Amino acid sequence: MHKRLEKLMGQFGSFIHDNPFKVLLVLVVILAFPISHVPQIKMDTSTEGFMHEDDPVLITYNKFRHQFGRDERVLVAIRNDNIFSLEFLNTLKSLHKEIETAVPFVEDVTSLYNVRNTRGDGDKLITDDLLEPFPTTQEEVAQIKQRAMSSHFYKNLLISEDGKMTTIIIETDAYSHKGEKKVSDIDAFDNGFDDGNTNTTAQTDKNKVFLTDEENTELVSSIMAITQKYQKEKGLEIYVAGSPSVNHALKTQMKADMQKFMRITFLIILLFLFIVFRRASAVLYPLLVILFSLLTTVGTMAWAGVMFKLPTQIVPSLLLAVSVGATVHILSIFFDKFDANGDKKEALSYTLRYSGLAIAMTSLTTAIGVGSFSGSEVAPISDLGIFASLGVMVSLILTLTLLPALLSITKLKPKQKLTSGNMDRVMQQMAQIPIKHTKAILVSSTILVALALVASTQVQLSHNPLKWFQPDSMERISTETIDKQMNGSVTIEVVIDTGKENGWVDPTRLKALNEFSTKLDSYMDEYTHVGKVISLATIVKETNRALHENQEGHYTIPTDANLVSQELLLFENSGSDDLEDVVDSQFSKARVTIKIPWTDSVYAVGIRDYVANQAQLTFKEDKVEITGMMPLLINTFSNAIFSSVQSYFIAAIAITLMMMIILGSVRMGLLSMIPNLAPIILGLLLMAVAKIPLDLFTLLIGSIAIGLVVDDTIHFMHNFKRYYLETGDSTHAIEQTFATTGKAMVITTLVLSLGFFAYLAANMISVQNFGLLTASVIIFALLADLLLAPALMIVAAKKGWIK
Amino acid sequence: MKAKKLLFLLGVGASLLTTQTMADDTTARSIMEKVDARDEGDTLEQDMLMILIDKNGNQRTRDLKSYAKDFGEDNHRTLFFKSPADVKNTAFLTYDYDNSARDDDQWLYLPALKKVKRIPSTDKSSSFMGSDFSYFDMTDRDLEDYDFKLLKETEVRGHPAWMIESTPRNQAIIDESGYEKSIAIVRKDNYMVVRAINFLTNGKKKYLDLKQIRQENGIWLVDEMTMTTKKGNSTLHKTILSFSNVTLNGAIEDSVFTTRRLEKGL
Repeated sequence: MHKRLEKLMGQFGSFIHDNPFKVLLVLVVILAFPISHVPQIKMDTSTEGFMHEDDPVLITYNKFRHQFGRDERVLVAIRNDNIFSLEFLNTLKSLHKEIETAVPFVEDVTSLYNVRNTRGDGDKLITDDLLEPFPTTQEEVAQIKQRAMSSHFYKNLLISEDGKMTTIIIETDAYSHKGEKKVSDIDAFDNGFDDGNTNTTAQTDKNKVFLTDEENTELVSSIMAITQKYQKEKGLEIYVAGSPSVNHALKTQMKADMQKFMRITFLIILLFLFIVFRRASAVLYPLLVILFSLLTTVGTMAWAGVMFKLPTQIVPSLLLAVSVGATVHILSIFFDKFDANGDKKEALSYTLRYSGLAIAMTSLTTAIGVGSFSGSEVAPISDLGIFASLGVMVSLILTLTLLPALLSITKLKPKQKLTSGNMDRVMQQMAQIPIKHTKAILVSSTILVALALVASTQVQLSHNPLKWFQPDSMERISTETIDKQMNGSVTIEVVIDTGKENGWVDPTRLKALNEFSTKLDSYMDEYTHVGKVISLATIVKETNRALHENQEGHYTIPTDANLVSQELLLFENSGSDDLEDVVDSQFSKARVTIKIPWTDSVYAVGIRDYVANQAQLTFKEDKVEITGMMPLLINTFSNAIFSSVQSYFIAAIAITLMMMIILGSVRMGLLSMIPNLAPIILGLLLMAVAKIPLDLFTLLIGSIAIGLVVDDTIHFMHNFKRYYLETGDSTHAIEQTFATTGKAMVITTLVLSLGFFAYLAANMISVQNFGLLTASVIIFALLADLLLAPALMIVAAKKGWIK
Repeated sequence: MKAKKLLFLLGVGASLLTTQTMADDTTARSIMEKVDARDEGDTLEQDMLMILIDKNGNQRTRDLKSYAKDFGEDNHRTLFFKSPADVKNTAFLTYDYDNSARDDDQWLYLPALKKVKRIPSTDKSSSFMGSDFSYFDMTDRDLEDYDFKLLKETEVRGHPAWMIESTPRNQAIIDESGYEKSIAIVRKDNYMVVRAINFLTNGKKKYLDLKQIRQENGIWLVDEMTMTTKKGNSTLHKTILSFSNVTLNGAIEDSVFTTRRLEKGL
């Protein structure tokens, strides 16, 4: 069977040599279609992009955004020792107004300048904004300070407890403005008045798109420009936080880093290929294989309407690694043969016969390994599985067709061995290590892997993208400063639906809401705490106190239901639109906003569950929903992390089965998993030592590791077995394997690890970790297959397991 | 001139009025002067049905009784809630002063609290009884602060009309009303502002539409009007105000416009 397949591959090599243009033509015809779709590829880096459209969590979130607007807010915090001075308040006013008018997609801006200040003053009821009328004397400012510092509502929301930090809270539009045309005022008349009924608007809203990533970028950039101007011109100490700005910074910097280093890695790889082979063709052709595999994969994604998301960003790196591996094997063996006998046809046929099958098996196994991700419930991880495995197969086909065809039509001259001559000697020496120190290698490997296994339990499961920024980066400092001084920068949202109109105009329920809020307010666990709770109860208590001459004893929910209704009517009439932020217009659904510091998604599960349990316990008759971006992140990333861990187990099983089939033996298949798993376990050891957490990003690096580890193991095992069966001499088989396939493995490893180590110069910590881990696992894989695998094979041969 | 002091009928039209000429479109200004000169009676008593419609199409209804009367240059009005039951007899009394330097006076009576509270207000852009109409929309202004421009001649519901743009002349006016500018449609036959778009400073737009008007003893009255708040193409909220049992120029006691009367209820 093996022999027949190898013979077929050899014939295929000769066929390509004789008909290179036919092969190229067929490839052009096949690839033209997917590649033509490349320009249509769309990027989606949103968190919602992690969920299927019919995911109930997403549906709840979308309902929430429709009712109450976007929960993610941008916080602009200013630290100043003299917040209550005319000068500062004037600056705050102008900053507030500039944000309000110049920043696109802003729904509402709240700061000390315009926050509601409902209060009683004798028989007067004042419902003005805090800075209305705007103060002109220091005495007036002093009064305002007294009001502001005594407000329950402002504390930790608009002003810190020490009175030295104030925030401007920017609420953004929930829906996208894409495709909206600027109509002239005159035209607005003809379109603006609908004579039909308004009920139709509810239906058209369903087709509306939420604020897009690009719009968010525009919004955040505009805010940053304004705050930087105030920083420079007025010397203000300004911090910007909130999930829109953190996510924006995260996406742009990650993308910039990944793209920059992808290019650098490319260059390093090409340069190194040139050094090793000293031929332009050896540089250009792998490049073409990589490029076409990538374009075909991306084009197919575009054609299938799948967007490019955060997890799929790993695909180019994976394809790069796999394609370099496969093409180097072909080139290395081809040029060795060609340099030796100068016959291109014979060299091609030999190369495909010799290693075509091994390459096919490595690619197939890698494809099946990463393909096991396609079963993931998390949409983009499933996409990663499907398209990474497709890409690997495309790369395989191109390596076996495009590359030989290109070699056939290139004028090549055999070369005298230069560097490769040295390398052959090195390979010979390396082969002696496992032969001479079999036992030592086995023992030390066992100890090392056992140690690594113990250490790997110390690796933290985590997902905290804020920690991906350098500790001295402005993004991280801003969020950390605001979290510390204002008690939080992100929110968990709770919606309590009574299911009936005026359900919330009910003193009993409002009292329960008030107690619920107070209880949450004091929540604290090892990782996070509640910084502020805002609800309808706040408004009712404030209004009630104001109607009772501002006596603190009346900062309560009234017991008379009619009084509650009348107070709410009064509040509606007061000019504040804050009511629509905490309750729907039917008073059936109330929203509770819980502000918390930025928290690791994995560790925020505790607070989310606490909130959910308390809400369900308090409002037994009502429907309770926990939503908002933070719970969405918690949900998405804990799901994604557990789902990928699951996928890895499936991948391990799938790969084991493949190894059994390839090696034709259950025992040998199991044995081959030792050098397959050892590098990954060592990778975990590295993570434990370097304190790199196992987050979604590092987890996905594992898919690249699978590709590389499996490649090395199969190449070694397959060739060893062949040489061993030819001679029955394991020492000879090891030497032979090292001299041929082993050399290609070393080249591949050097090229790729060098390429990925370049990522260490990146800006983002996550990207640095990506480079460190990927490059290290590549090296571990080589060590495992040049030391451990031969040692194991010597033992297996002695026991007579290799048949 | 007192005739112009009539609330509710005017809606945004009032905001477009001006009493002095400045460097603007003289044709537009003369039209607005005629709008301004329209006789609208000295007193008005009516029932008001307010339907509030949210973005999901849910409706809430409020019934009010409204009294209004001119007192010299100033205008007083009293509003009682008739329903819903839990706010019944909640009442508002407003003195709207002709002198723009003087803030309006407003009193509120909450029956559950049995207390009258004074609400000093500097802000006219706030919502009128939780509706899409603002106090600014419902009251008169001293309106020397607008520039007018005739945009075009047009038609509305088959009636020939003018389209006139008004722009506030200073920031204070913009701050008080919340409007950057307004565009109104004035019917040629009766000089009524029957439609208008108000451009809010926050980018939203409010669309006024007088859906049903009629003539009674030579005076035009509004039976139904709507105000729709929109952002872009989507409706955020809408209010329908319809009037019934209208008595124009009937006798209304001055005592109706006192805080004592608020406490008595309907």
